[in-house]
Amino acid sequence: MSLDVIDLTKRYGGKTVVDHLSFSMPGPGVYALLGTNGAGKTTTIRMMLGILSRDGGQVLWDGKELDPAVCNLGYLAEERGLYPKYPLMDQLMYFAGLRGVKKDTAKQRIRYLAHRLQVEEYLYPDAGSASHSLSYGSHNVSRIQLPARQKKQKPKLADQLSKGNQQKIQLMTALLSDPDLIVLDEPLSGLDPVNTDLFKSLIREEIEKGKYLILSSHQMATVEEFCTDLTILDRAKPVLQGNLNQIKKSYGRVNLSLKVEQDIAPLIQACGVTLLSEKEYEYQLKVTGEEQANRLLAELIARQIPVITFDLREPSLHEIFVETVGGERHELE
Amino acid sequence: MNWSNAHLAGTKQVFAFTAVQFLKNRANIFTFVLLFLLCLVSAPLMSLMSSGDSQTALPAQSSLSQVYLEDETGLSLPWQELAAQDPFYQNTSFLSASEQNVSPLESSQVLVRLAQSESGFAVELTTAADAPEQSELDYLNSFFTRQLQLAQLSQAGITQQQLALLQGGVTVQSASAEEYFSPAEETDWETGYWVQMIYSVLVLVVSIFSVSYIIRAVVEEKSSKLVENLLVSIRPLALMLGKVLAVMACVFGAFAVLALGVGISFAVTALLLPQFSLAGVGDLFSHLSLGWDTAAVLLVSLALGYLTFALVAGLSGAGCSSTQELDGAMSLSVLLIMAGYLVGIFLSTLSDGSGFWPVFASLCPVISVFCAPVQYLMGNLPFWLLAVSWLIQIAVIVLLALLCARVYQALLLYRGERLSFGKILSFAAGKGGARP
Repeated sequence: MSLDVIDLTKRYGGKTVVDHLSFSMPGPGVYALLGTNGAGKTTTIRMMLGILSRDGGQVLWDGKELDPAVCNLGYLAEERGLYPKYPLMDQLMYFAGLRGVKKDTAKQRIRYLAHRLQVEEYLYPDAGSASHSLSYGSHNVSRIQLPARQKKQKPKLADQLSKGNQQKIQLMTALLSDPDLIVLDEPLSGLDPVNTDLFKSLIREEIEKGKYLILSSHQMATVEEFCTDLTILDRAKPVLQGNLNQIKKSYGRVNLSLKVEQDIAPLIQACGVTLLSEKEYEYQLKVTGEEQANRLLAELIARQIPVITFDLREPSLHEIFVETVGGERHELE
Repeated sequence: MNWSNAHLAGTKQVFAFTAVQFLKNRANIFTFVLLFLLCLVSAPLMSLMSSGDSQTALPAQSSLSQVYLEDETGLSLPWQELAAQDPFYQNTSFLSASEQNVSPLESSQVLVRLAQSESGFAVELTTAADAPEQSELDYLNSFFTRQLQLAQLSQAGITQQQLALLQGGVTVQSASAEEYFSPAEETDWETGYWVQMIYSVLVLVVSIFSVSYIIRAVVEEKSSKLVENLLVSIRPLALMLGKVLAVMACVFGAFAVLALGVGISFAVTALLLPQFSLAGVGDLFSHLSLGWDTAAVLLVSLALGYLTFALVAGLSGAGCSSTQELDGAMSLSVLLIMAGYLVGIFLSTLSDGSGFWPVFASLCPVISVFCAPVQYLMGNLPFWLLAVSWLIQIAVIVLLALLCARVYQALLLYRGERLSFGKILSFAAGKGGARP
């Protein structure tokens, strides 16, 4: 299977909000859509999934026009919502039914995801302690049993849950059908570090299962952790595209983190290295390449300045993003 | 947007989910139970409210088995013979108290003392502790009074002819000129008016109740930002139809159960209270051409009417983005229903069942919902015209459903003030939906 987005274009009146965007996923993995606010990421996703009309372009899944109703697809929208006054379990079963998942499979899948996302207490309010194990695929889930002589509790409604827990239920709706193509629009926004890790572990699991993931996020560290390929959008246009490792390599190892025990600012200046920041003799430097970094190191050794840290690395995605989008903006301005 | 399988896939799931949540809704359960209880007590309540009338409304025959007489008037009237002339006392024996043991009296027995007084005669009735109905006693009293007065007149030398003249009263009857010249038409008009009124109120109640639920369901889905997630799995047409059909099934089912409640109430009341009768209702509907097809005609018409207004409600709800705009969205649908209802009632009073207006009212969408089945049942509309009316309504429903789905898709991500109906239509005309 493969996903091909070809020349996707969207205009509102005279304004182009997505301008001839093309990318492809020839195999499983994570493709990241990055961009500043209003760059066109969500619009691109909505066009891909048929929620918004297109002014041009094609989205092909396995060579055919992508039909979300037919393709096994999971979607976590940026604007999230649940029926506030309906029981959570009913809603999950409804979404599973809409995606063509059989009841028994859906129940098993809900139990598994509830366990992984730690929301069992909301979905099985009558449940007590775990007693024995249930396996789903390669994973084990604890089966929950009703404690004896306990008053039956009312099923939980969505508006009784915190925002983070609602987000977990929404992720469950996206993953209920064990989809082949998963589109996650800002999946980690608003989550605390513990829940972020839960979400990440589930995303990692889907990657291991060989799924196709499209991820839109502002959290560069997370994207960098998962994605293999990316597009950076700025003002409706793709400004940087390709494999993340290759992009990083193309920038070269130009970021130098240096920690010493004395002031070396004059030496840095003498070597022609750009000083980005300094805090208690810990310097963040930008070099032109490995040669310049080695020259600086040789100078330090020659002057017998003890070096605590010398870390020469490629730029982070965050740095690439800021440089790409900032640079573009600078040029335009 | 078209009426294909792909666009209808998932309707079943939406139907089931909406129906289950409708039936689980506490407000709906409470309303239904309350209405059902009201239906169950409707007949006894009616009987109680018309208890003043029920005293005069006697059964066909007296429930008294024996009337014992102590006749001290000296007239020596043949009471058993006189009573036999009154069909009401066909099964009642009038016996002399002196020949019988009348103590203690049973509930179906009355002891009557007739004596002379200064002003004429005195009638005294004695009953058992559980006395017969007051209306029975009043009638018995009037029976003796009347017979004694006739006997007095007879004693005074009045002939049978003169007696007949004296007994003949004056009958007063008021009637309109139309009724005087064509009494049959006037009765038809009254029946038509009442049938129109009852059916229209039924359509009105079903539509308004359903419309409010559908608009709420559509707006809640949009305001809770769920719809984007839903439309990845299902097309707008299926989403809308599933909702509308589920509410229809629930509301119609509820009304069927309520009707059953009324039926049970009437049956049980008629069994327990023999004087309770539906004769008046029967008379009112005797001019209708009721047949095997009546229930089917009413059901199909009601369903088409419901679908028309439900889809208008869906259209109206699609123009909203928050629950605060619910009232505004509801007003348009309710206004449309009220307009159809009032025009339907007005036209039924305006026409005599023939001519242009009944046909116009039966074919014009929105009004036809209220008029066509009644005109058919009144015999003013042939079946083929009713069928044409249904076809027009079906065409309107299909168009409304497609329009609704298109608007739903076009305004999916709309955030802002509630759109007017005109703007909603212009959105639909523009380029909105992603899926052609």
